[in-house]
Amino acid sequence: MKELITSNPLFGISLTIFSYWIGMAVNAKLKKAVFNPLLIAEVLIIAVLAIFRIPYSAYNEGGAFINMFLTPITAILAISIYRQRDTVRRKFIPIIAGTLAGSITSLITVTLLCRLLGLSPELSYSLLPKSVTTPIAVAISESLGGIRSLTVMALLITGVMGNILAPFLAKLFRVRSRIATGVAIGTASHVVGTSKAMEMGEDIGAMSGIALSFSGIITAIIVSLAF
Amino acid sequence: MKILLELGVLFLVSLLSEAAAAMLPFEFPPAILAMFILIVLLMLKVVREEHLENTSAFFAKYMAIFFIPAGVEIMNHLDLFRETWFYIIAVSFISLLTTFLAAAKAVEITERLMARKGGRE
Repeated sequence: MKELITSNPLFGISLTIFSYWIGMAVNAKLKKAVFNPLLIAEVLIIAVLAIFRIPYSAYNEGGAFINMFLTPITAILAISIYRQRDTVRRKFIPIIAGTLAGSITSLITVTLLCRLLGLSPELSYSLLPKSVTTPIAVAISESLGGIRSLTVMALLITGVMGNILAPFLAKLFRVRSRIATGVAIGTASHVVGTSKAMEMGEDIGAMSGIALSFSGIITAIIVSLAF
Repeated sequence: MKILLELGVLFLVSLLSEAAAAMLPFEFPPAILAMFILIVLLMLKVVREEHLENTSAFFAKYMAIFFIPAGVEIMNHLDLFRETWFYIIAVSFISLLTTFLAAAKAVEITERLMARKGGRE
């Protein structure tokens, strides 16, 4: 009976959709970055699979279908960059300077720390793209031979910390420019940080949104050249 | 009808990008190549914004759902995660600080230089 349900790809798809729906509902109710819908959904799914002793491979019959959408949903980021083209044109140089400096710093910091801690290359590659937006980070991690699930985990941790700490970091580092604040949030903590940037102001949010796409592209280019 | 065409455009661009990325002489994520191609197509007005508006709104809203299977895969790496979770948090935290600082200061310095240059002219 159990196999009749779990061997069907629709099992993984349904489980994913309902878990995410619960994650969104919990997040809407508690309104805290720690209760990230993606994180809640993952914990729920792993719990269900563990409790009913369902192997990952059964879940992934459906998961693979969902996974197939990763390229199209990354491609669709093009629309948001295109929509921001006027702002991008006006502030092009500061945005490029900020995202470039941030992306390079992120790559260097992660590489150095991983060496220092003696982490395996596999793990280092998984952590390398952890500041950029999820679709791009997963793509980079896969092309390097990293473990993408660890990348997703590191991304979530970074994003949630960025979301919580953003206003504090802006104060700590004495960042006065609103453009600088937005670019820093987007470059350092992708979409999850950007949602806090939106709360801090529409202009900061827009900058953060632009910065996350730019830093994603820049990181992908640097990684493909340097690693 | 329209949504059907939107999805068709998006999947076709993705398909061609995945094929093109496999032919490149260096490793480059196909998904990002697809994004580049789509930006170029939008700039050239081959694809117009309204060709993708419904799909992009839907995907933007529910984007995170598509990463769930990739994240759940951590089940297969639980031992590694158990051994390294502390390092993952430490690396994430420290690089968050350095990245934030570098990006913010680079923007501020650039803005200051541009203001000075603009003031002189």
